[in-house]
Amino acid sequence: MRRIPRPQNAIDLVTALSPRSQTNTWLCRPCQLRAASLPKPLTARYSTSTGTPETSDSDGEVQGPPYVPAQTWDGLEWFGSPEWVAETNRQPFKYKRFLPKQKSADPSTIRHAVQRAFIEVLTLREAGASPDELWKRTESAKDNPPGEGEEAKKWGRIPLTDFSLKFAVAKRAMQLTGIRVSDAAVFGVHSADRLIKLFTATPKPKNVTEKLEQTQALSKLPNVKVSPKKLTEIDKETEIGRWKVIEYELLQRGLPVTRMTR
Amino acid sequence: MPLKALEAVSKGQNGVGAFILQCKRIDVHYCDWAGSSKGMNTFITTHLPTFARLNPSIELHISPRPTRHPLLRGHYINGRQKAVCVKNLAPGQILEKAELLKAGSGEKNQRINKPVASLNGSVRGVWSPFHGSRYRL
Amino acid sequence: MRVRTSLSALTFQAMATMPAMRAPATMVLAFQFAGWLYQPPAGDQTSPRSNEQITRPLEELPSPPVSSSLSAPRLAALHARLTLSPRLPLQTLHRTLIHPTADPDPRFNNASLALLGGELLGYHTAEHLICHYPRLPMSVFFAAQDAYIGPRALSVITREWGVDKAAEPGGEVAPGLLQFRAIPAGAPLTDPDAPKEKIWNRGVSSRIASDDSNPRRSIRTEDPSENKDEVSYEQACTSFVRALVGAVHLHCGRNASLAFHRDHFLSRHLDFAKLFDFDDPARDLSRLCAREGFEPPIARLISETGRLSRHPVFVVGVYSGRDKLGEAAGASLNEGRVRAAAQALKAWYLYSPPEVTKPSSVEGGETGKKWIPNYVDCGEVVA
Repeated sequence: MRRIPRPQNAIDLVTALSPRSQTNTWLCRPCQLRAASLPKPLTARYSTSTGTPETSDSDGEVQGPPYVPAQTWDGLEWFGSPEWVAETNRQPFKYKRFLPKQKSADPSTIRHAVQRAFIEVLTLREAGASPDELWKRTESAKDNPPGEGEEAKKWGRIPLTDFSLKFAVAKRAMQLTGIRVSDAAVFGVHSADRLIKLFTATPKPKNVTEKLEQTQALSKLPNVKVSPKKLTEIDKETEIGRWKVIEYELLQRGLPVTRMTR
Repeated sequence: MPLKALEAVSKGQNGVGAFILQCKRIDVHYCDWAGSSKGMNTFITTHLPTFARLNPSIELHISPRPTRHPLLRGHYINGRQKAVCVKNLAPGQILEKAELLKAGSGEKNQRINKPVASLNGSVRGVWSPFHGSRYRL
Repeated sequence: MRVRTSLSALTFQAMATMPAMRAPATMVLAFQFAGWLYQPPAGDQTSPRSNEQITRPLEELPSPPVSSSLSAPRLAALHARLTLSPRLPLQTLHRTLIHPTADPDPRFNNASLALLGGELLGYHTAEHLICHYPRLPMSVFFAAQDAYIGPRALSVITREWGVDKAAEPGGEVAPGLLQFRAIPAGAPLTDPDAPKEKIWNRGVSSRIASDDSNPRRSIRTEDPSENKDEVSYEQACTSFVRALVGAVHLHCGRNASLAFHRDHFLSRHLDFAKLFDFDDPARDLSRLCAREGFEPPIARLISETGRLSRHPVFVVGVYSGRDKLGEAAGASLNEGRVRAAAQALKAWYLYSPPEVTKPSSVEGGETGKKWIPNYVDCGEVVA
């Protein structure tokens, strides 16, 4: 679809007049400072208020010659033909997991993973490279992160004000541990210690079974049995030993054993 | 033959020798979704461990019963069961119901008119018109 | 509760089931099994071929593995309900519930324990009856012993202890249930093809000599109840209770065994007077008085009412000289006389000395009690 040129907004004219036109006047000063370090939003990049799109940007999002709509369909790519379908199916899109399937459980392992993420991101930064290479590598070189003691405490007190560093570290730590931490939670963290705590904290129990697992209140009592699932007739019959007989007789008669059996 | 014997079975007197608690099992059913099970969910994590520890002769089975009200079901030695729905009760009230189940005998609720139930007729002997002082006109 | 684990039982179990040891096919949580190591299933579970080969190993076992007894709430509850000492391991309690028809392996069933416990039960009950009722006739003594520890009494006791039976024995059955192979419903109790045997009635002397209290069991060369593939519920309960008594004696000692017997068996109520079934009590009383050197018994009418009515009551007393031996009421003069004689005989046979010293209380010599010989009777009247 070709872009319809929009008449200038009144708000744009007003903001263009004031010297602080490039900044957002509805944000407070500290938030403006923070926003300045963030990349520009897509809406600003692709804004058509001036009639022409931004051709070059520091992120390099939009490059190449300006868009010229085609008049005929010669040379354009075809979609949806049977050949295209066959072609697409022959090379199915392989979804590659970003986070590992298995979540790390040991708190010391998680702590080491977060510290390793720090080291890797900072190393790449010092080298001048972007942390994008990290996402492709699932197993990096084994670093020796600091263990317990004073060094670990010094580690913890490192302040985290740079957003890009913080989110890069968080992303790398998620990739290593498999534990998901929400962006909102990472946003509110301002020290390395707190970031490690986010990863090592046990999640709030969602149901009674998880709560019992965490508190271990009923685990040591010999006269207690906790079942995480609803007990069915099959469970009751298995407990008294009759289920195997019932199943055998049903199979003998060719009858379905459970409701899900076809 | 001079003497034969009749078959009999001795009658148990619970408490004379050993005491056997009549409640042998309590099923605790909860629901993670229903609001009526809020008290029960708290009861399971707070009061139930103590109750289980103080009553080692009662086996406790805790299992979810999704989308149903929370339930306490007591199983007794005479083979009967007693189910108590504990919907919308506080944990302390649920503990009271559990104690009620524990203290029960399993028999149906019946009114007992006599203060004492005993195998002995009386301590001093049942009155007979043929013994003791005669009434003379 | 601290329980002593039975290392030998665990070793036997490991030796017996090592080749087929796999994880159970039940949904359990790791925190429930404190001390029981989870064993991952043997073999690759991912390929479709092996899915068909997955058998359920627990069902293949004849009885539940010994290690499962530590995490069975039913077993722990039974242990606490009977207030058993912590010295009795849960594994042994589990073993007492497995009948040989469920698991023929003598290391995992209750046959050996039942043998010991049966003897102990008989011994303790017999000494109690003989010491407290020295003049009890043998047939009544056997009936009393049956009433306390016979098969019917033990099955009632099993139910009173809250022990349920498993529908079918197997390795997947929850420990704590009585496991045995039951006689199928409708199956004949005796072999219909076997040749009919002549039933010889068992007399009292024969029963004394063979330690068999059952009056209806005929004299046979071999006991048909042994080595059967299927048993009745009563027989399974009998073996369980006997095995438990044996286990208590083995693990907890003699005093605990005596206390267990007193608390669970002797505390039961039995009306001894209701066990007597006289044939001709007046004749028996006459023979008894002759033997003991009393004056011959004479029945005298103490009081009566309603002689010409539909329900007369004659209170008759049996006197030996000036001493009244017994008194009873009857609807006729003869009935009163007979009942009075029966009452007199009961009073004689149910004599209980005020103080007794049971042999088991001075056994071993370390108890500190002095042995005072008990009263021994010359026996019942034989007409």
